[in-house]
Amino acid sequence: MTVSSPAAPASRPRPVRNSRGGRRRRPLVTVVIYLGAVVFALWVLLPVWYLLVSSLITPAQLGVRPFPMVPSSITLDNYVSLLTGSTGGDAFGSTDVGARLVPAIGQSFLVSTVLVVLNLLLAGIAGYALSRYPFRGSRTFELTIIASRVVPAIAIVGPFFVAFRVLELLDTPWALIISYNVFTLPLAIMVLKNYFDQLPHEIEEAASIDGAGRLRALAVVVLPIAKPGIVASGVLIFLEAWSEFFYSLVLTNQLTVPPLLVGFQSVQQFNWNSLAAATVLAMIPPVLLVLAFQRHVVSALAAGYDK
Amino acid sequence: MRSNATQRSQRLPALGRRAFLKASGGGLLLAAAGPALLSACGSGGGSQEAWEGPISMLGWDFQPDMIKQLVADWSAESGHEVDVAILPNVGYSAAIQTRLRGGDKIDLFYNFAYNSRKFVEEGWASTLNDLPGIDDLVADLFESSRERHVTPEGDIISVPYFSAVHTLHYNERMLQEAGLSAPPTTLQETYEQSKAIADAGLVSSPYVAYWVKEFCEEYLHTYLLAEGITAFDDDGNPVFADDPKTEGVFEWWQTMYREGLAPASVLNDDPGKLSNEMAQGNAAFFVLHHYFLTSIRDLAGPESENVLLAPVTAQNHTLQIGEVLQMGANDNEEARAAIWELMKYYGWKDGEGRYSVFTEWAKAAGLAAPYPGFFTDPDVVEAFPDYYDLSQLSQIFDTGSKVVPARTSAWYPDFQAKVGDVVHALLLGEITPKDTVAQLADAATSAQGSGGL
Repeated sequence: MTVSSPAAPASRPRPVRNSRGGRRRRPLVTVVIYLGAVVFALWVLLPVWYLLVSSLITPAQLGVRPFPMVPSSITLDNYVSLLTGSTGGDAFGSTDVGARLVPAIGQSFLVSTVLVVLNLLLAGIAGYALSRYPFRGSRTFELTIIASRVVPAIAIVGPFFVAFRVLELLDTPWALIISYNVFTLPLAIMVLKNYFDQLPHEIEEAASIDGAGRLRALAVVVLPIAKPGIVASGVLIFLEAWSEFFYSLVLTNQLTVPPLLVGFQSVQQFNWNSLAAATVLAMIPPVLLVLAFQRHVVSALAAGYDK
Repeated sequence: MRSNATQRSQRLPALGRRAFLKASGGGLLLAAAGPALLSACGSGGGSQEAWEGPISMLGWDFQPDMIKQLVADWSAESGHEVDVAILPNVGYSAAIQTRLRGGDKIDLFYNFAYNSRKFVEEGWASTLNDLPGIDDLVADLFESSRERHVTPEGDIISVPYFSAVHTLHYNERMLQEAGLSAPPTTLQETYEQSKAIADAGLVSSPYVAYWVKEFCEEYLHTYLLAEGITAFDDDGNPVFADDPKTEGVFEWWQTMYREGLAPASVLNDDPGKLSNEMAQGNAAFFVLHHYFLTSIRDLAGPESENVLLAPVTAQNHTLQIGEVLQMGANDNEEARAAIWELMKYYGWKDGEGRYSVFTEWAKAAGLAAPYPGFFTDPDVVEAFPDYYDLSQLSQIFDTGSKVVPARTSAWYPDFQAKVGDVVHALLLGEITPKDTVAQLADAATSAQGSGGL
């Protein structure tokens, strides 16, 4: 017979548990984790803050040491001049960039949005097929898709240029929508395939028992539960397309935002303040997009965490 | 004039059936026949059919609205239509080469001087030898500038877009407070004066320059010329390697950095920041193109008005730089005649004999033209702010600067791409001045052997 000793539990420290039954962390560990999070947040946000402050001060303030992280006075002149199209001060490298910025943001939005729709359609089908119908060599096929992302743009932009010249598509959004597929489509296929892999097959089997065909099961059962993954892929595609520079440089005449912003840097002149203001304006659409779909993106990124 | 850059960006191509089918066709065609298309790419020029225009012009993003205005003025005068396209300066070289290699037809384009001979050799740009008035244009140039536009074989390959000389921007007040009566006249004096200013506690790192990797090549020539060394002979041989003074130049360069007379950040700083350092009084010397005086003054910092220009050294030469305009490959005589008229207007004088285009660049940023007459033209004199001593600047162009003809050779961009790595290794103390001489000579020899990028 074993007799439980009343002293035993007291001598062995019981794990501290929180209200949800999980093990409670030691305060020191919590402090270290939060400190790490704060440092990381600062690491990410400080350049953005620097950018924002630079857009709200004058060139003379920009040169003051140390840099005024909290400026004593701010001005909206950089934004006003950009939005009114009159950045005509002597210190501006690109005087009519203001007039071109808003149309460029519009073009970037158009290119990115169309690309998201096309890619989700194609990558959704491809990712689902790769997940549910593996075939001999499908793993190699997947690796090939991944490998296609590492081909440098400068190596393949030439053929694109020739094709679009022949088809008279240069300097149009279509030139970018088609060429961007080189790097966005593989990304979308990879993300969606992995996401579909995590979805239980049993749900589709149950739908099948209920009489649903493959396509109906896909549309009615799979897509709704795959929504976070699809949204996350869409956001990633959008961001990649939004920030792409080299294809846009070669295939268009500053049609989208990145080559236009780069135009602020000239050998002859350089104006950081106006570049900062233009960059802040150009950041607004993707930031709004991420904020709008934040819940889905986080959900997709966290998918599989507890499996 | 039609300005494509503006018109196309304002025109949202409808996502209609026709556009969709074209785009879809493009994707399919590209996937199926990419390599074949490459081989099919032609020059696009050379048509002997009746020319109807328009002239296609490609420039980089410096005052694009002014470019369009100037070209529109010419179009109104000449009756020739011009399509102007603008690309950013950063990435321009890669973009234009990809476009030309892909068969794009560009009649007139801005180019970096270091690419100019290569473009002629590749068949992307034509020589200007027999065009009417070309000899007058060349004769109008400073003698020191001609070698940038005329090859050793006598081919005229470009006309000026703008020009500048490397000068020393210095803070007169700081010099006076440090007990210095005049700006330095040699590299050694530059070191001594920098040290004196630092020792006087006026500023800790008095000397700034645009020593990022991409720009070290210009400083290489600037500092070698300052000591009387022309880096390459007429045949492009790296004769700097045989000059005993070269090692001394690199010792000086390394010392300026290693002793902290130039700030550690100078290897990455952009010209905007460096101009601000001068305007704010954080630096006393700044060597770069003369027109950065405009930036420093426009910043209206506490020290802006104390900054003046001087030659990098008084005894020898400095580097004269300039970017160029080139005519694309086009065999059609009518087209060439029209393009040449635009080139003359844009790179020399207008129909009334005035430097009207250059005057606008002078107003915008203090850029210069490599013509003696430019500096005495009343419109130009009025365009330059009072703080420029135009006679001094003209003299630097005339007798105080060199263009180093090898810089336009087809192999040169390959050498240029390597200079930054070697110089940064020198400045960081990873290699000795002697090693630097050897490595740069090897880089030049190897670039010539490979024929360029």
